[in-house]
Amino acid sequence: MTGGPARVIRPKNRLAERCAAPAGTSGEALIARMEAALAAHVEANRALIPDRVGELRELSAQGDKAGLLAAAHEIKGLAGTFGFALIGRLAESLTRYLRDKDASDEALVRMHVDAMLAGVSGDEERRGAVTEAVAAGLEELVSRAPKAPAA
Amino acid sequence: MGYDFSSLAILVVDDNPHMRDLLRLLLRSMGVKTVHEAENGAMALKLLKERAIDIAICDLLMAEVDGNAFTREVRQSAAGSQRYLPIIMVTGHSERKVIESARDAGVTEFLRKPITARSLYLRLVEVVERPRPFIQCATYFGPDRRRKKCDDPSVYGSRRAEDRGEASEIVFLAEDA
Repeated sequence: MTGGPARVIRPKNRLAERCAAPAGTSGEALIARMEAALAAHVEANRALIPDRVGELRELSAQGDKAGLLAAAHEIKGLAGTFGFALIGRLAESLTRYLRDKDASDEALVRMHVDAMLAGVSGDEERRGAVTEAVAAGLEELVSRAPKAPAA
Repeated sequence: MGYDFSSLAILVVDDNPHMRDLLRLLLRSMGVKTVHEAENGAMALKLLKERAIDIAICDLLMAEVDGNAFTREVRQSAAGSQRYLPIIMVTGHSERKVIESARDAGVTEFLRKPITARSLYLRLVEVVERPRPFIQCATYFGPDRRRKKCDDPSVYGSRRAEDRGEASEIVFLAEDA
């Protein structure tokens, strides 16, 4: 199927006119202002990711897979911005397992949750044990897990 | 070159309140005075009917109406110039099929998580400075899906009308449709 000829439409660019700034306005200065605001926000919300990871433990204990998926998805999206890149990677792996795989292996879910709990722990030694290799290992286990049955 | 974003009205669509907080904070710090928020695509579509929105920043995965469904609805059903609304899709996904499905729904740009000040700024500049032409054919209406200029159509695949060089007419819209 070719779908027929395409028509190219170029709407008038009103945004450029409306966003025109005085000469000498610096994009880098604006980015610096945004970064300062972001740093203050991250500092004021330092507990956000550890708190959300703490909730994973409760959801895991309750066997609440829908709740776990929602929380892991949220952590995945936020963790990197809040300085927890490795936690974000673990949350992505858990999200993938719960969403795309059969999600029947509770031990694999617990391994993800335990790794994330350690990763946000105040104990430096526990935190240090959560490495790229741990994340890669869990990702490998998820990749080998059976797919979720077709809906 | 810098921009003054203060006159823009931006709609943030995300079911995660923390992500909405983060985006609102970043947009305000870059001078945007009007930030509307919706927690899913259905609420966003309602807001679009009630308010003048210049740009939407939308999460991909949401309960009820997700980012792709929201985008398709805007491209297919929105009134007048809102069909051309720039939609920036926020996603943590890097899988090709996920990106392609969003692009085929009519997304304008992608903003990868984790969001940074610079990445958000650059996406907004892209939308303001280099708006994509729109393609209209029997199977698609939305921004030109080609992400870079290239003479070799095989780079883009062969199924898109814009790749096949079938554009028969170029229309410049001087006023709102």
